[in-house]
Amino acid sequence: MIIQILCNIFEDGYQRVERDAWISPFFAGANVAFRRKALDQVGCYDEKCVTGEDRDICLRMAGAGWEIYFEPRARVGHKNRLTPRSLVRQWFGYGYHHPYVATKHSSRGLRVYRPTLERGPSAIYRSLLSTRFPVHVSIFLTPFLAMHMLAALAVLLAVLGQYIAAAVFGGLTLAVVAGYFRADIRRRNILRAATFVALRYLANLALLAGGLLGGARLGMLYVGATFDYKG
Amino acid sequence: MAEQRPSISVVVITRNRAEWLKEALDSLTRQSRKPDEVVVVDNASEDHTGDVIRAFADKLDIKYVYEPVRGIPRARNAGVRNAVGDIIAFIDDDCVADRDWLKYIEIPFVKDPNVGVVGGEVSYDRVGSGSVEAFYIENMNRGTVAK
Amino acid sequence: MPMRPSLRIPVQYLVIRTRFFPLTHLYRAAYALSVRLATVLLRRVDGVVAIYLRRGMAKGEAVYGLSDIDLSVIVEDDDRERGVAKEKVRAVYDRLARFIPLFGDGDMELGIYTVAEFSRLYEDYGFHKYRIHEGRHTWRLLFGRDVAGSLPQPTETDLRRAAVEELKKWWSLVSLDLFDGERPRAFESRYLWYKAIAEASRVYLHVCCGVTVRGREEALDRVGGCLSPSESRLVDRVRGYLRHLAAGEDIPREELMRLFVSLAAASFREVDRGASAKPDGVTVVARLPDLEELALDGAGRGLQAALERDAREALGAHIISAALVPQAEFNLDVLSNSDIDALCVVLSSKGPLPPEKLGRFVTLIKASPHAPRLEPYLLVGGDVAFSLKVDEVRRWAEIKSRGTCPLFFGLLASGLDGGGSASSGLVRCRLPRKEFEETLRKREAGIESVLSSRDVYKMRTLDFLRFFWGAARSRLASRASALAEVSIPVTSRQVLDRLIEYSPEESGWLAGLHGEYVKELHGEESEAFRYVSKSVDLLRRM
Repeated sequence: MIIQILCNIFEDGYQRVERDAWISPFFAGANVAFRRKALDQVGCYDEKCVTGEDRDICLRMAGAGWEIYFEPRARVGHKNRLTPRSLVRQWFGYGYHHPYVATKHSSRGLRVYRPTLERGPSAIYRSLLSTRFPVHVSIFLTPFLAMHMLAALAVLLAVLGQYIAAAVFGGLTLAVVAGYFRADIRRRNILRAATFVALRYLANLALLAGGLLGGARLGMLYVGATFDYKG
Repeated sequence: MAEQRPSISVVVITRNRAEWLKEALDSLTRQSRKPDEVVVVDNASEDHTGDVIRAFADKLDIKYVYEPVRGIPRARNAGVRNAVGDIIAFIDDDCVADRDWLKYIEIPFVKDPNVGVVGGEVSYDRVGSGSVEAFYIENMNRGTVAK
Repeated sequence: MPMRPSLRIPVQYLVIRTRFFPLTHLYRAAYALSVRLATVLLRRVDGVVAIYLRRGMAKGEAVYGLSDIDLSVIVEDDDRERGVAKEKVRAVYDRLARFIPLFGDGDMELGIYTVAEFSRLYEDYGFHKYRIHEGRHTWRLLFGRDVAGSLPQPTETDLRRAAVEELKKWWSLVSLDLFDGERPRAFESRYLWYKAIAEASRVYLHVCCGVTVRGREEALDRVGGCLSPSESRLVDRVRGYLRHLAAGEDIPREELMRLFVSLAAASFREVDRGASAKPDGVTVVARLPDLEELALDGAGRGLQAALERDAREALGAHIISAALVPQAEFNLDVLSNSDIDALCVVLSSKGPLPPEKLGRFVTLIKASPHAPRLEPYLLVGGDVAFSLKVDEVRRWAEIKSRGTCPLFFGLLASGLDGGGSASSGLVRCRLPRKEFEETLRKREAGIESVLSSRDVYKMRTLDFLRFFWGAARSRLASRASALAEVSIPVTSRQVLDRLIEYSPEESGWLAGLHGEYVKELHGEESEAFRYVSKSVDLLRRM
C-alpha cells in the first residue's frame, strides 16, 4: 500500500524510463544538464553520431540507473532562422541518423509503435508490438504513413480495374489527408495555409525518407515517426 | 557541504554566430543563480566569435576552448573535458536563458542524488517574419520535441 | 485511462433505467464476458500468481450500470525486476479500461500486490484485514492459487477492531456527499447511501450483536430490529433506494448522516469496551504545545480566535466550543500528510448538527492561511470524533474513539478545561504496552520500506519533510519504549529539540531545515530541497 501511494506524491518531473531505445525520453542539447559523476560513469557524447547524440547519452544514463528529470521552469528561448531548404535538410538528417543510435541500444527485432495523446519533453509513442526478429524492423504507425498507404492502395486498385474499391479508398485517403492537415487548412490566409501544408508535408517526407535511407544503410527497415502531435 | 551547493559549469558550443552568442552569454550574466564557470567551445568559427568571448572576461569566469574539428558531439565533449563543475549545463549559442534557468536546473540534482540528467523547456522565439519560422514555432512550442 | 465521462454517464443512466427483463440478462452477460476477458488477458502476464474478483460482482450484488468490476491481482515477489510484473498488469488493465466502461480508472477497482505486500497489508492494516478476511468467503478466485485463503485466521478481537476501520472508508465517501460543494448525480447519491448504511449495519451487527451477515439486503433487514422505530423506518426507505435509483426526490441527508454516525459511534464504543488497559501498560507522556508553537508562525492566538469566529458564523447557537488539538497519534500510514503538525479543530455541539452548517464551517476554515494543516472534527457523545475533511490523496476520513486514539482524547481533555492528569502542560495516557509497541513496530516497517527505496528522494519536498519529522518522532519514541514511562514529542519543533539532543553536532543544519520546512508549510519559496539528502542520511543512521 505504501509503495502504491508513493507514486502520487512524487515530483512531476521524473521521466518514466522506457526500456525501448526507439521511444525512450531524452532532452535536446539546447537545454540539458548532467551530473559530472554520471558523465564520468557512462562516458560522454558519442562522437560517431552526426545527430541524435542527445538521445544516445540519455539512453546510456537511463541504462546505468540514473534518473531523467524534466523541469519546465528551467527555460531557454531559442532563435531560429530557417529556410524551406534548411528545414528539409534538418529533418532529413534527424531521420537519417536515428537508426544508428537506436540500433546501438537494442537487439534485432520487429517493433511497431502507435502515437499517444500524452505530452512531455519527448516520447509520445507507445509500443504496440515487440518481438524477436532476425532483422531490425521499426515501424511507427502515423497518420502520415496511413495517408500514403491508403493512397497507394487506391492507385493499385484503380490500376487493377477495381474502380469502386479504388474510389472508396480514395475517399478514405482524402478524409485522412483533411484530418491530418486540418490545423493548417483552417487558416484564413490561403497562401499561408498552402505554405504550411507544403512545409508539413515536405518536412515529414524528409524525415521519413531520411529514416528509410539511413536504416537501409545499416541493413534495417525504419519507417519513422512524424513530428506532429496529432494523436 | 559540497552536495548541498554544487558548482555549475555552463558549456556553450558555438560556430559563426558571434552576435547570437553575445546574447546567450549576456543571459548568463543575469542569472539569479550565478554559474561558477562558463566554458565556450569555439568549433572553428570564422567570424569575430573570439572577440565576443573576450569581452565577457570581466563579467563571467569564462574559459575559451578552441576545437578545430567540426562536429557537435566532439565540441560538447571538449567542453566537458575543460569544465570542472559538479554539474555541467549545456545551452546553445542561439539560445537565451531565462533569469532563473540555473536556479531551476540545480534543484533536482541537489535534492535527489540519483538524478543524472535534467532537461528544461525550450521555447521557440520569433526572429524574422518568414513562414518557415512561423510554422516551426507553432508546431514546436507544444513541448520539446522528439525526433 | 477510463472511458470518457461524456460517454459513460448517458450509458450508465440508460442502463439504470432499463434494469428489467430481458435486458438484465444482456447486462449480466456483458459483465460476465468482461470478467472472462480480463482473466484471460491478465493470467498471461508473467509472474501473476492469483486473480480475484471482489465485492459486488463476486457477491452477486452488482448493480448493472453503477457497479464496477473490482479485481485484485497478486504477483510473485521479485526484487530484481523492480515491479515489472506490476507494470505489465497495470498496462493490460488500462487498455481494457479504455474500451470497456465496466472497468474504472483502477484507483480503487484494481489492487496489484506482491505476495509479501498482500500479506503485510493483511497483518498490519485493520481495514485490509477485514476486507481480505471477508474475501475468504466472498471473493471469487478467477485464476491461480488462493493466497488470501492461506493467510492466518484472525482472532475475534482482532476482527472486531478491524471491522470498525471499514466504517472510516464509508464515512469518507458519505462525507464527500455531505460536505463537498460538488454534488454527484442523484442516482449515485442514492446508491452510495444505500451501500453506506448497509455496510455500517453489517459492521454494527458484527461488533455489537455478534452476528455475521454477508449480504447488504440481509444487513438492512436485520439491523431494523436493533434500532428505534424512526431509525427503522429510515432503513426501510434506504432499501427502496436500490430499487428506485433513478427516482427524483431528494434524500434526507441530515437524517441519514445521523443514522450513520449513530451506527458507527455505537460500534466504536463497543470495540473500546472490549479493549481494556492491561496491567502491563505503558504511560505515554506528551507535552501539550502552546498556541504559538502550534501555529508555527507566531499567530497562534489569532488562529484560535478566527476558528471560534468561523464556528459561530457557520453553526450559530448549536456550537459549544471549537478546541484546537495537535495531532499526536502514531499513524500507521507513514506517508499520511494529516500527521505531524496537523491541528485538529474539534467541534462540540449541544445537539445534532445539520450537514449544510458543517459544510459551511469546513468551507470557512479553508480560507485560513493554516488551511492545509487544519483537520476539522465533530465530537459525538464526548467520546467519538468524526473528521469533516477527506484526505484527497488517500480518500480517507478519520474516526477517532477514546480507545483507539487515547492521546487525542487526553490532549483534548487537557486543552478544554484542564481536566485529566495535566500539569504544566504535560498529559499522561495509559496504553496497553503490546499495542503501543506493535504500532511503533508497524510504523518502523513502513519507514524502512520507504527509506530503503531510492524513491524516497522523489517525494515532493513538503511530503518528504512531513515523512521525515514523523519518522524521527516514532524512532525517538521507539528508543524509549521499553521504559514504564515514555515521553513522546508531538510537534515538529519538539522533534527538532529531541533530535538536537540526540545529535548535538548536527544542530546547525537541523535548525536550518526546520526553518525552511516552516516556509514550505506556508507555501513560500524555500531552500528545503537542499536538506533532503542529509535528512535521509540521518534517518538511515538512527
